[in-house]
Formats: sequence, C-alpha cells, structure tokens
Amino acid sequence: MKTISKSALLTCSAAALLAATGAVNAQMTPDAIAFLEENGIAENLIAQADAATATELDIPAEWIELAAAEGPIDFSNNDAAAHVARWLPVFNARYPDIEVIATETSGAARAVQPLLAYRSGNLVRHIVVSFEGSLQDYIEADALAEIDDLPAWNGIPEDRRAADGTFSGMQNTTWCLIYNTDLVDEDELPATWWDLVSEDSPLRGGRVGAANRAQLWTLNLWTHPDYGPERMTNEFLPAFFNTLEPQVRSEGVGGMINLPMVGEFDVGLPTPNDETAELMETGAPAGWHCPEPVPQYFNLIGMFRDSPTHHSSRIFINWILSQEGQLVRLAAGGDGPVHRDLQVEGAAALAEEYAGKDIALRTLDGMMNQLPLLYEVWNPIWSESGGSN
Amino acid sequence: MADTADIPPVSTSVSGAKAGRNILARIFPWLVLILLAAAVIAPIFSLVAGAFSLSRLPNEFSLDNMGLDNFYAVWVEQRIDRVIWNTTIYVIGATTFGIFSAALLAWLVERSDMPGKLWIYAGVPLGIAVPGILHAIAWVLLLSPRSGFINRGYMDLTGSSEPLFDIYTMGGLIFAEGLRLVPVAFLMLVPLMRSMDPSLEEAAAASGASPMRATRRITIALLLPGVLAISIFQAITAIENFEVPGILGMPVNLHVFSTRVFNLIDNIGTIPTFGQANAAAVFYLAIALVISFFYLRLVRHSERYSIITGKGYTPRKVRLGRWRKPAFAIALLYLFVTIVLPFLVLLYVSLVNYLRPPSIEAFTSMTTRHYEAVFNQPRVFRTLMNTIYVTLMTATTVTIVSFVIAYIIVRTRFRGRYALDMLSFLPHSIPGIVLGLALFWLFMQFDRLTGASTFGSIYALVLGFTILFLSYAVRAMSVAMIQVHPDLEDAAKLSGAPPWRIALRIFGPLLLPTLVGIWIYVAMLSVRFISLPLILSQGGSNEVLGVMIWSLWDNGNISSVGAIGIMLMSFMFVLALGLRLFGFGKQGGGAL
Repeated sequence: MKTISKSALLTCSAAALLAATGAVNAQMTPDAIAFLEENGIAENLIAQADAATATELDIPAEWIELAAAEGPIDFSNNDAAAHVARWLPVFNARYPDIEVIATETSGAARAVQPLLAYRSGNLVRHIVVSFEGSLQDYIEADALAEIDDLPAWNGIPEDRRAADGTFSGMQNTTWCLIYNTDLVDEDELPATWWDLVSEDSPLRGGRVGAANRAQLWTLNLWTHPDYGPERMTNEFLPAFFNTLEPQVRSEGVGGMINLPMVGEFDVGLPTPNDETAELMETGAPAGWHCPEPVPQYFNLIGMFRDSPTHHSSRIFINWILSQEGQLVRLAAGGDGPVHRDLQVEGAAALAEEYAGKDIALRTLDGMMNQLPLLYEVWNPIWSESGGSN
Repeated sequence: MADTADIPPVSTSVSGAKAGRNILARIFPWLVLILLAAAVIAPIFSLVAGAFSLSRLPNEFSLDNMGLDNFYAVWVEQRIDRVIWNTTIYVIGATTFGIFSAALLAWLVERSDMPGKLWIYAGVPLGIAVPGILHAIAWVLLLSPRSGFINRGYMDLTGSSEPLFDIYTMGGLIFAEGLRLVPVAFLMLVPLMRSMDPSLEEAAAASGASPMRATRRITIALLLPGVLAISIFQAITAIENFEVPGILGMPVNLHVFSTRVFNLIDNIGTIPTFGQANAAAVFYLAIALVISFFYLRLVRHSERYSIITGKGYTPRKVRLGRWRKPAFAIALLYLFVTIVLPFLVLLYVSLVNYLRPPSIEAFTSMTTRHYEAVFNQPRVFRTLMNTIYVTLMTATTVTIVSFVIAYIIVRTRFRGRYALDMLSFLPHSIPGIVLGLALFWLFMQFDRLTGASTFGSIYALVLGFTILFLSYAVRAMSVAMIQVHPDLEDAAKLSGAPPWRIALRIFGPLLLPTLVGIWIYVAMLSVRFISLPLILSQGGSNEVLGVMIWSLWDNGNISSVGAIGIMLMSFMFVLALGLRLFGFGKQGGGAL
C-alpha cells in the first residue's frame, strides 16, 4: 500500500511539474526505489538520489517526444550482459519509449571499428564506452557530440569529464589484486607495488597472473609522483617482469578473476573491485588486496555525432550520469559511481580494502598523452616475456 | 478491327517469347559469372590494395599513398617467417593425426569385422556438431597445465608438479585440431573404402599373403591417392581454422596465420595496424591458394588412380580376431574424447556455482542460475535471432546459388563454365579471417563512396558466409547433378517446360537429399564459423552466437559459455542427425 500511494504521489508531482515547466522532472520511480532497496542500497543514499532527481532528470518534454520517434539505441559497452539485464528495466520504467540494444564487446570491436565506420559515414554504434585507448583518435575525428548541456553533467567532477563537453566518466573502478585465499596467506600480500616486485616478494615465480592491460593500472603508477615514467621504465617494469616473473596471460580481466579459483595462478592482476565482489558473494575462496598507491580510473561514455538516436541517446546518457542511474548500476553490478555526491561510504564495492589509502587516479592527460609513451615501454617488454600482443 | 490488328498472331507471340527466352538463356550464365567474379574477386582486390596502403586507417585509403612498407614490416618486425613455420608444423601435424585417426575408424567400420559398427558409423559424424570454439574451450578446461581438471587430478593423485599434458603447446594444437578434422575426413574416407575393388586383395590372399599384409601392401597402396587428396582438402581446412589456435595458441603467443592476422587488428589499446594485417593476410592467402592448386591438380588427375570398376562386388572384411574388442574400445574412446567429454565438461561448468575443480562440494553446490542468467539477458535472445536469420538466409542462398552454378557447369555448354567452376572453388582457399578482413576493407570503401551502411549489417555476414561456403555446395551439387540422366530434362524441354519448372519438377525431387544435405551442412557451418563474424560483427544488429561465445570467454564468463555451449551443442546434434537421416541420400557425405 505504501508503494502504491507513493507511486500515486510521484505521478501527481511529476504531472504537476510537467504542466508547470514543460519539463520531465519526475522524482525517482517506484521501480528504481524498489530495486535499490532490494539490492541493499542504504536509505540515506536513496533519499539523496531521490532529492537530486528533480534537477538531474529535468529534461525537456520535447526530448522525450522526439526520442519516442527514434529507433533503438545501439549501445556498445563492457558491462556484463547479466548486469545490463538487471538495470536496463529500471531505466525503461522511467522511459518506456526508449529501446536500448546493449552489446558487451571487447577489443577493437568496441571502440575502434565504430570509429572507423563513423569516418566512412556509417554509424554502427550510437553510444560508446571505454574508448580510452582510442580517445585521441575520437578527438581528432571530432566524432563525439557535445553532452555538457545535460542536466546531470554538473554532477560529474571536472577532472573526470571532457573540457569541451564531448565525453564524461561514467563509473569509477579500482584495480587491485585478486587472490585465492586457499593458496595465499594474508601476510604474503604486498603493502606497495614496490613490495610486489621486490627480490624477496613471496609471490615471485609465476604465482601472479597478469593480463595485458597496462592502461588499467600501470598508467596510474606512470603518472604518480612516487613512480613516474623514468622509474617505471628503468626500475619498476623491469622488476615486474624479470623479478616477479608473472605469468603473462592473454585472457582479459574476467580470466584474471576466475582463473585463480581453479589454481591456474594464485594472484590475478589487474582485477576490478566490482566483479571481484560479485565473485566473493558466491562463496568462492577469493580475496582482494590493494597495494599502494591504489589504481583507480573512470570509464568514459560519449555519443556519436549525427546519430539517428540523438535525443534518446542524450536521455540515456543523462540517466547513466544521474544519481539514480549511478546507484541503480551500483546495485545491479557493483559499478562504482563517478558522481561527486556519491563518493561516500556504502557507494562502492570493496571500498574497505582501499579506504584511507593513497589513490593513483588515471587522468585524462594520462590517457591522451602518457599512454602512448607507456605502451612504447610496455609492449616490447611484454612480448619479450612471452606475452601475446 | 484496329484492336485485333494490334494483336500479333499467336505463332509470332510464341516465337517472340521463345527468342526472348533464348537471349535470356545466353545472357544468364554470363550474368552469373560476372556476379560470382565480383563477389569473389572484389574483396580479394580490396585486401591486396589495403596491403599496399600506407594510410593509417582503411578509410584514409589513397592511391597516392602506397608502398611495400607493410610487407617489410610484417616480414621483418612481425617475424612472419616464424608464423609460416608454426603454421606448417600445425597443419601437417593436425592433418596427419586427423587423417590417420579417420582412416583407422573408416577402415574399422568398412573393412573389418569389428563389433558395434553402427554406433561408430552413426557417432563419428556427430563430431561435426561440436563447434570448434567449444571443442577448444573444453580442452582448456581439461588440460590447461595448472588448472585443467585432468591435469589437476593427475597432479593431486601422483604428487607431481608437472602436468600430464599441456594443451597450450604445438602438440596441444595438433591434438585438438586433428580430432576436429576426423568427422569430415571419416565421411570422405568411408565411401572410398566401401567402393574398393577387392579383387587385388583377393589375389594377394590367394598368393598366401596374410590379411594384415594384404591390407598394408594392397589396400593402403590403392587408397593412397584418394587419401592424399582428402589430406590436402583437410590441410586447407586446418590452415583456415581460427577457433582452435585462437583459444589454445594465442594465450601463449603461439601464433599461426589465422591468429596472427586477427591479433594484428584486435589491438585493445591503440588503433591497429590495418595495412600490416592485410600484408600478413596476403601471405596467408597465397599459401592457401598454392595448397588448393595442388589439390585441384590431384583431383583432376584422379581417374589415373581409379579403383572403382563399376563391377558388382562386396569388399572382403578383414578378421580382427582377438583385436575385435580392443578395436571397438578404441573407436568408442574416440567418441568419448571428442563428443562426450567436451559435452560433460561444459555441462559441469554450466552447473557449478563458480568455476572450480570437480569435487563433492562442487557437485553439491550445483545450480541452474547460469542458465537462468542466460535466459534473462535480452542480448542472448537478440543474438539467437540474428544467428537464426543469418543461418536461414545463408543456407537458402547457398543452396539456390550452388544449384544454379552447378547446373551451368554440368548441364550447359557455356564457354565460361570452367572459369565458373574455378571461381566457385576459389573461396575454399580463402580463410575466413582473410575474407572477413577483405570484406571489412571493401565495406569501408563502399560505405565511404556511396553513403550506404553495409558494414555492421546482418547482410554483411550473409554475403561473407555465402562466398565462403559456396565451394562446398557447388562441389556436392555438381556430383549429384552428374548422376541425373539428361534424358528426363530433355523430355521436359521437348514438352515445353520452362527452366524453373524443370528445376522444380525434375531436379527438385531427384536432388532432394542433396539439396537438404547442403542446406543442413551450410546451416551447421554458419553456426560454427566464428572467424569471419569476429571481424564483421558490430553490436546488436549483427552479433551472432559464435561471436558472443568468444566475447564471453574473452571476458572470463566461463559459466555462461558452458550454459550457452550446452544448448548450442544440443541443437547442433539435432542438425547433425538431420544431416545423416535426410541429407545426401546414400552418398555418405562423400561429396563434402
């Protein structure tokens, strides 16, 4: 009964506001509230997001009408399909006329090929995420439409969105070490990354499995004052490959998370907080540990120019960036909010493992200017160590 | 009167229609030839042009910016010579192992008195139903050096620190690919064994040779040319395979051509070196074409080695004596290893709560949640729909087009029929990954010039698959069409039946088993094949099951791979059964 009356109240409020302003600035939908409650999001966070909805989802009614006439949005992402299947209905509860086709893709298919197609005048995707590796090419091609007029835009910290308004961070992820608790003692875990690669590291000799994902954690160290390009090139990376002697693996991040559970290696690197937490919930013998400084980054989201789903894509991205969208995605798959008002306790998976530690944030400058320099060092040494490019 | 004057006499109208039909009959084969040439040659031309392009991106292609730099980079920097060496070892090893195993099984069911032949004869072709990617994934789960269930069990039992067998090696690649080649090789070898004239063997026996000696000196000697042709055919299949080396070789940097080309364009961090990928693909294509050339030469001169005399006979069965049961056990072991084991291991990972070695705890924690998760994903349903659409469209298009081409080759005196035959066979020499890359370049240029949206569409996959599978279908269709006597067709023509009615009323019923066989076989290939869609798939509009399985495996969603794999294999078993029951009549699949 409480839900019904609240729904009715929400509907009335929304209608009244719509009539007054010509904008669709409803409060949080009953579906969203129920979903957040069911998935353990704290009441104060739900209330906070609910209060912010009036401004963050305050989009012109005209957008909704135009969006309803558009076709489905082709959304290329790296979120697990099972997670998308959980949070997408909450979005659709608010915007039933917007259809989203989400496809989890990896490698060149996610970001490179859509950009090439765009340059040929063919739009195969409307919204792209995690295109950091090709960011410079996206900027050079002027491929992304401005989204800085979205109501939720201002909720994203300035250092996690484009100055020209063409892309934004959509989620925070922290990258550390997963380990099999049956095979690794806690006192074997390194306090810092230097400890991991030191001569007396107990994890030497193939106990660590590493994926070829320098951009997810090494870049953070590369731009950190305690490490820097010179020390990384001459000290850390040689020690990482030659002293630690990790297994250089071709599997992606998912492989790094799962393979320690079957004993392929004892420790997986790099592994994200959200997916690791999900595995731990199944009862798997998994632990997660963050040496300092803790690598953290934010995935990017942007939309192509001249998209046939221009309005619906803007509405969708706005929702993703809003507190409602951020919390719903946190509840659905543990994706850490990037929103400035959600950097609080209870709004990130496994936060207790890195709370109070020095954070090494991957910056936009790092992605655009430093990543190519890091690859020049990383790629040859990775190949020499037997890794697949 | 004016009205009636305008109506031509009936005889004039009929002869006009006939003249029109004659013109059409003359033009039609040329039209087919031109379309086929465009479909096959245009992508290759675009691939080669791309190999010389020095532009960073395919859509920056310009004739002003061409050179040999990509070939130099591929040969010197990418060490393509190592890839050539790896590919040679892999193809020779896998083909030898596969042909030997298939020949042994075919000989046991056709020429020996082994018990339980029916099980083996029915079971071996079911191996076609196991998609290469699932086959390879199953072997990783079983024989990965540290965590493979067999290796783990062996190390736990014996206390050894070394695995029993490391699947991430050249030996592992040869083993897995060799096993994958067996079903088709078996289907090709069975008719060869069955149709051998036994008189020479009987003569050897009459001269006092033991059965084993007669087999060695007569049977094997007679089979050798046919086996050689089948071996080259299988070598072409192995060289173009991507799934097995992609899953087993890429993780340890053990590259063959197919994986190296893919690796060059699937760089996650930066924009890939497309020109170098094309240059590598050109080397790859050249090698495949050379092998195909030898195959064609061998097949063309096959009459020299004719062993079928047309005389009625029943080949003599070799008595295995005390080896009867061990022989049956070996054949059963093959079925267990190639069909039952992959199915069981995928079933296990699809049911276990999280990926872990088999144990009592693991079995008690089994759950169907991975299946529920799969069914709850809109992506799975959409991908399934895309796969069904691509499969239906490809199988139907290939069946119709192959009928038309085979008809022109077999039944007409069209001047270009030899060229048509060659062009229809050529795609068999084009590895899927190469055709994918070639079409990728072609679509990029086409879209840029015309404003169309071919790349990323579902029709891009249908076109790619149609080109790729045409050679199988035309070969099978031609063989079947030769067996239909032209008298029936001539009689229909004399009775005034138009070509479409002849096709429908004469060829349709007579070639039905072949048509159904080709349709099912192409449908199976369309579901199994992943190298081409890996390059051409782009999101929800044309993602197919194989690509989704690859993506799930790449992202570590092993349980979802298991759940989808089990459902896919079950469906493929039904198709394989259909192929055996309804397809190719009594040919035993030999045409393929």
